[in-house]
Amino acid sequence: MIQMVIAVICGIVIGRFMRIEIPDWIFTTLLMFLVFVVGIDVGSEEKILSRIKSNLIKIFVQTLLTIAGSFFGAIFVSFVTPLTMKESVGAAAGLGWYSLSGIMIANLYSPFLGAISFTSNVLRELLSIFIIPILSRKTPYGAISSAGATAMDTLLGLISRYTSKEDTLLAFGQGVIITAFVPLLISFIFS
Amino acid sequence: MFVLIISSFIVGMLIGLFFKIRFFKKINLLTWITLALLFSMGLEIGSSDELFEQLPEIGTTGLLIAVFAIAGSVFFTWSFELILKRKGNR
Repeated sequence: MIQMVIAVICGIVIGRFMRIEIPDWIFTTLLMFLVFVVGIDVGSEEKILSRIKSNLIKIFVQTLLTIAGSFFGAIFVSFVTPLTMKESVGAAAGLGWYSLSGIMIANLYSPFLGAISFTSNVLRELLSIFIIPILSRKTPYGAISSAGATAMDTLLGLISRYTSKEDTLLAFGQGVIITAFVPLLISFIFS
Repeated sequence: MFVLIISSFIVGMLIGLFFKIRFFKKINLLTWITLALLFSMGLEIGSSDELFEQLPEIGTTGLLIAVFAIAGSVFFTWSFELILKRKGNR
């Protein structure tokens, strides 16, 4: 995560001193390629997906509620900030996947909202690191949902330490499904 | 634009389903493209005075969205867990 944050900060600092204009088609091509490679990664997880089939309904409900809950929270934010409902829901649709959501929104919509989405999803992961150990005592499902898409990679280790084996599987499944959904949700919201 | 992005994603996913490609993972291509794109998002913010002045607003709005998105997710899934437990006890 640190290298991603540093990349953004370096860009901001260098952009302050040099006005560099990068043509849009380069962004679009890179973005398409990025989404393509992400697709290959998700598709290659099929074996693991079939392993979690036994709990599929529970995992699906958990995932849908995580997404719906995030949107619900974002709708509330749109009432107290200048953002429109579409903008705040779109920013929250990264579900913890800050790099992809920031990039996609900056390209599809505006760099301003892209930066908001990046920040909010970096913070989502950071806050989750702190609340998962506490929340998992009361509600393992709630703890897992706060991690969003990162439940399958960066926060999986943390989750497995604080929840049961079965719940760790739930976390992994949630992460995989959300990861597949984030590019679709964002392009759908901003198309 | 939307169609282009969705189709590259779906084509990638189909390829991943049928051929197990580990090549991209080995050279960390994903990380490098991501870093390049994030860097250029930073460039865009830095080169625009308007965006640069909005950085504090970007930070606070981002924090608000993070907190409320987590709260919403936790609330929904916690309720789901309680319902499941009640069913199990019956």
